[in-house]
Amino acid sequence: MIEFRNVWVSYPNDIQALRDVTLRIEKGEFAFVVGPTGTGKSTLLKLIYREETPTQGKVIVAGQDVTRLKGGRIPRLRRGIGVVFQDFRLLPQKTAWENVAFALYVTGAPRKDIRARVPEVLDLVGLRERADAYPHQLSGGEQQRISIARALVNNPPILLADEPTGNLDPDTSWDIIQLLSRINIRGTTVVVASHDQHIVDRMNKRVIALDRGAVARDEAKGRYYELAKS
Amino acid sequence: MSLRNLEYAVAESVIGIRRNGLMSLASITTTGLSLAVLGGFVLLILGLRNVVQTQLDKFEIAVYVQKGSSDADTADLSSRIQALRHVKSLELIPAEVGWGRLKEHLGSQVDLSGVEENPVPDTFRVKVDNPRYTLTMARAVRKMPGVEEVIEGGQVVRQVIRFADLVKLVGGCSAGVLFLVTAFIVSNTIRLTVYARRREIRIMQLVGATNWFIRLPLVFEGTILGALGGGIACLLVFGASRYVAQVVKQMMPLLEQFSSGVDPTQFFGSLVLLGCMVGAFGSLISIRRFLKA
Repeated sequence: MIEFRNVWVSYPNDIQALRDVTLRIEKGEFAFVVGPTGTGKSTLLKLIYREETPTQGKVIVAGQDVTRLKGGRIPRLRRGIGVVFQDFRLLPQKTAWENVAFALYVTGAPRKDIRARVPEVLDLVGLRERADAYPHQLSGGEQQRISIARALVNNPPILLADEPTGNLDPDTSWDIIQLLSRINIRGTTVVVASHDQHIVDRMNKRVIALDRGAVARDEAKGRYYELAKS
Repeated sequence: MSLRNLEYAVAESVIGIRRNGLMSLASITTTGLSLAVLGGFVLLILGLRNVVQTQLDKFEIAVYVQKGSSDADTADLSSRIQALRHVKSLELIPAEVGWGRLKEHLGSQVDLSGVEENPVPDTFRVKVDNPRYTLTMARAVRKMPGVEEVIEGGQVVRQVIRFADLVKLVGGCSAGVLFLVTAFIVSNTIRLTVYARRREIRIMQLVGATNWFIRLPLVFEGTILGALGGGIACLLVFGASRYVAQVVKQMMPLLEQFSSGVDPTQFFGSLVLLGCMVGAFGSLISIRRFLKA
């Protein structure tokens, strides 16, 4: 589903954001990308939805070399990838419903499809009754659920989450991760960048640990820190 | 781009204008004022040019025919003059008519009863299609046989022409500069409205909106703001031009009319159109930066 082949990302001032990253994430997998801040987790995710391009190497998403993608093809790629952020990135002037519908609207979906699909995802994240609320009327956890609903409304095969629990309290964080896990069970490939040790350890899923831009560890059923250390 | 997307873009642009009310108002006002300054200036220049042109059109050359020329000689001279380039019209005023006019003109002030013989020669009044050629033409006519004397405007013509050239040059340059300034101000104002939306643009990109899908509502928004600004400019220019016309009439009644001679519908239409274009272009340019990022 997602493949990195010898990917390097360097920035002008000689900073290596990623160093020779090679990894595969299979269809239907749930993977954590962990590591301290500034270690390249976000960069890794950004390469997948082509927010950034590598200096060297290949990124293949759904059989397509994303690095060679022409500008006009990027929107199509992104419709197949849901992205969730730490800061939710909801449009403040739009209601929860409108924020979710927006992602469908943008793809030119027919109005009746939108009317059918939006309540479905709102149900999935458990916020159907808050559909008419504006983001500022929602709690952090609720906002994140709406942003997840928006990410899912296109039925993307891939869901990326960049520190989805970074702004949330532990209980809410756990709820959100559970939600992502349920989504994964329904068949979506989920990649979560996180530095939340509790969650990563408790989930006991695949862990890809980055250290200064390089893959330090890649374990199925891994933990945040190497067992020897913790 | 489907019809539904177009409908979305239009609806979204109107929503955008209303939601960013204060910002929109600011853009409309700025656009309106700068376009009004530009439009007013252009009208002023055109008006000035018209006044000068009217003056120039009045210039003519008087050709006195030698006394004792036969009718055939006069006819010959007439066709010679007519054969010159740049002759717009040629009118022969026979001596008796000219004398009559002179008497009528001066009669009340000077006693002409003592003048027995008609002092006025047969005269050709020649109008030139372009006053620039007045002097050359006068020179050419002077050399023709049967010509007694040629009277032209001389210095005055030259000065008026120079003034007309100055108006054209200075007016043209200033209008050009003013146009650039207007375009800059308007597109900058529009840029602010786009900048206020950068978050929205980022999110649209994230959920896979095509660039045109993002661009179109903003371009429409710029166009609408520009058009409204153009409308305000029209009102301002219209009001100001009527006022100015009145003042000019009072101050300089000799100037028959101070008019730019442009068709108002066309002029105001162009102002609005200009607003639209600058608005649309301004937003296109400003969005480019955000779409690239």
